[in-house]
Amino acid sequence: MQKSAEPASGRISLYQSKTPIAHPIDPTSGKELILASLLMADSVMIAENLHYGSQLMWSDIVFSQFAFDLIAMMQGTYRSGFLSSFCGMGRAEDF
Amino acid sequence: MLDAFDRAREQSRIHEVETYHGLVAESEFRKWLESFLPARYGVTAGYVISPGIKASEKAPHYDVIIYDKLDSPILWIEDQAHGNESRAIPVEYVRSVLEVKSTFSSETVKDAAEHLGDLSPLMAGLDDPNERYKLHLPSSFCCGMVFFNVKRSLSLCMAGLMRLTSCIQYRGFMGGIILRAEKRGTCFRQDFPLSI
Repeated sequence: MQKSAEPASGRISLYQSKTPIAHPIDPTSGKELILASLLMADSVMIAENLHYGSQLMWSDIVFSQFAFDLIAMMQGTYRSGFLSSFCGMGRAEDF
Repeated sequence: MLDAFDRAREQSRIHEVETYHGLVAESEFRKWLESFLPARYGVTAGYVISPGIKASEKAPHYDVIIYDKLDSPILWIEDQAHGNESRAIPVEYVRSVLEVKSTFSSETVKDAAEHLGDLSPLMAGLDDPNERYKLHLPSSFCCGMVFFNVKRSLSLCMAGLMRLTSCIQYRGFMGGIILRAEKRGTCFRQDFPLSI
């Protein structure tokens, strides 16, 4: 795995699925995980064909994402699956 | 924010009950929000007040209330420890409530979820925009959780996440953020995946 000195935060969010999701990541496997920065908990059935669960994604950009999602939600402009802002999504040298 | 939290945690180790770092965490997060959010939003600890809730019922105290500073009256102000104030905000001007916890764990998620659950009567309905006497939180209301730390344990993270799913019942629940995973005070991406 490439070494990086970027501090990471974890974004907690809920996911939705039509089918149940069980043991998406086995915590006892002890192996390197392909999705090492994403943890998903088992889903819970809310209604038929409607399951919800929670997930935790580690990244150095999720803090900005959380902050701008908060503003978007309060302003009523938040859209699930869309970035609320490009601010904080990359570093200056990326541009 | 995290530096202030770490300093407070060191200081609180000598206290009989280690709550000081939690108060500092809340205060630092409010300060950061105040500096980041557009000027129309005010940030305070305090109470959400609705005429739909009987005066005899105890009003829960929240760590972070974001409200419409331009329009909202402040019903009362209480002085708290460490120079913090708590304000009482009428329900229709509240835009968000965030629960701040020092550590992400099954227990702290449960506590935060239950505390947000105290808002359930105020989330249960929506007031007509023309309603003069509003009883409920506005349609754009959102709520969430902020954790300063998580111990580097996959099983602990999973237990917390399982608890968190129950929050789907709350209107405007936006999840939350964990500011860092703890490993000797630092967190770097190369430490992933988490060890059990």
